[in-house]
Amino acid sequence: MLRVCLCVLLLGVPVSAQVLQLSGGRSTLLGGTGGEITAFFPESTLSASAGFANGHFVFGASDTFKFHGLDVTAGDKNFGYSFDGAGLGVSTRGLFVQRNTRHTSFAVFVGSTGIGYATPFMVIAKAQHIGAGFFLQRQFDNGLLLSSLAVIDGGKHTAVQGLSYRSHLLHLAGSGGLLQNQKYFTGEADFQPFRSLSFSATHNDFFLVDHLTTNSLSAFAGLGHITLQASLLDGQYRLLKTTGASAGASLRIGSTTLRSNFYESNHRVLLVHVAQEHFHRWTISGIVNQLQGQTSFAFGGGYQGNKISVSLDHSVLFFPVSGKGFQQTTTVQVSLRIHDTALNFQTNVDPMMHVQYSTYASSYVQGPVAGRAMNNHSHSAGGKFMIAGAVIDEHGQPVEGAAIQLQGGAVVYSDSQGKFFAHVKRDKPSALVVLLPEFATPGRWAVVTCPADAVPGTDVLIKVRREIAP
Amino acid sequence: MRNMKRVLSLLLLQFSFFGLAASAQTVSPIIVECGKKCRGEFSITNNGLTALAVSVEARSFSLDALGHTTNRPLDPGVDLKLEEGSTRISPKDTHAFAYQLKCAAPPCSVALLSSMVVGHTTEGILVRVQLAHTIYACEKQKDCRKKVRAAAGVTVD
Repeated sequence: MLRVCLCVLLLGVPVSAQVLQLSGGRSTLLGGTGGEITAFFPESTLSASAGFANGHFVFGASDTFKFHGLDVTAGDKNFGYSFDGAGLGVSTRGLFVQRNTRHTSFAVFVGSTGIGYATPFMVIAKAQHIGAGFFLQRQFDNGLLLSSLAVIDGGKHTAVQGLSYRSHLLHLAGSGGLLQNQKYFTGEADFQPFRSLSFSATHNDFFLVDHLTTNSLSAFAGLGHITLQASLLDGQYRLLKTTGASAGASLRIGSTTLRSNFYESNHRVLLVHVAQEHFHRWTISGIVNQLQGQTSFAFGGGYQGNKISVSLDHSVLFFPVSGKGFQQTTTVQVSLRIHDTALNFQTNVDPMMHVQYSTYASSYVQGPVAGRAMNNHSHSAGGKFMIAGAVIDEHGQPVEGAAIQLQGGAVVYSDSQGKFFAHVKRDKPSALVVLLPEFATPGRWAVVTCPADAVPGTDVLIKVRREIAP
Repeated sequence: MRNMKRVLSLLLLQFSFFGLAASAQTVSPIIVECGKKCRGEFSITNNGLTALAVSVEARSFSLDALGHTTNRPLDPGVDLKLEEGSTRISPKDTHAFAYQLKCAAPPCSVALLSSMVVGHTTEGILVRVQLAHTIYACEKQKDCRKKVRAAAGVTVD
């Protein structure tokens, strides 16, 4: 009954919301399929998620708002406790109150705890136990950071203390204690005696189906265009202990990077040689792998643009859970942006070396009280010819934020001098339209004069008049 | 029925905290150093929930002894090609502006000013945010900013 009521009420929220965010997707890595609707109000955020996680229907909702300087969340909340790179997550359903000041962060919650599904497209906490807890973090001016996390849920105790110190040469961080009645410690030490030389040591405890412990020692040196690195790793999962060593060097010449790495684990040696070329927004890699006398070749690369980014990456990862040590992995990532909608697809390799994928979309919709919301238009024409001009008012003063649409749909805006320009592909006249509703400058405007088209290489002059002040 | 009351009170609580939203925009990187010819880009992130129109203007600038800048139109020896002069950035999106710069008489100090109208006051005064991406171009890239500041007699960091 509660779920049905929440659904009905949340469907009514868009009428009064300033901005809505709609998300949906599927992730085999995070074990869920579902969606989320979030309504943003000036001082509060209301969201509802629903989907299937590990074959079961799950539902969650939350309301986050300010109350006397406190950030309050009523409902589902995945509280991430991050401490210098090491993170713990607590999924809560109930009341969560947080206060952040310049040096101090304090949070307290009461309600229920359980399994959480925190994905980019839905946040759901599955209530399993009655629980309560607090988190306190304090940053001192001398580089010292202290934190405490205490949780009681279902008779299990979590009490983790963290300490971090950062100076010019040294960075030390560690957190440890009890995590659901199990001993836990994560630590990191970095020493950088010179700008080009650093040493690092880490220890981590992870709780998968069983307890996983990993340790690493590494060194890094940068000598102009040359970098050198070496590392030792070991991991223990159940009774399986895996060790590995790696060393490598890279040389950068202009936009080209040449890299050779040696990896040894389980008495198996892998050599990887990479040549990588960086263009403007492109990266292309050629990879040669040598494993036990056999040679294989691979190609990777990517493009990073404003509307689309694509990458195919090959990397060597250490897999202590499956006991396989260093393994070559391949991942794919594609991101697309169509107007206010972002589409993402990416693959990952899980600790058991299974390839998993996540795909999701997220879009923003402007509500009736959101104020000025520009419509969706294409804004990148590209090309070697340029159309330029200026927008002025009836007094000859420049008008900033005037929107002008060119042939093909591209929209450009005038700057503080009233000037605008756009690159076009063809050296021929392009039709011009002044988009009055798209003006970024407030007020109601009218066109006084505007040429029907613009010729590349000649400046156009557009005159507008403000009819109603903001 | 009790559940229904709970839900209604949740929504009432939410509507009672209606106020003004705050958002911020960011530019990255803030400063770059390069040689006489360089190709680069900077990114503007719209951290807000509504789309923003952004226009980019290029200015040469000089420094006084306290490090304060004075902007002026681009110097004749500066050849700057911007890929785009304006764009619309979607909520929570980042847009990269690419450019090519040639400096005929180094050093050249150029600021790319990204302007965005974020609203207006009740009196109708425009509220505009301007974020600068600063380029220092010298004969050699290394320590270019330091050299420009030293030449201007800047004594403060």
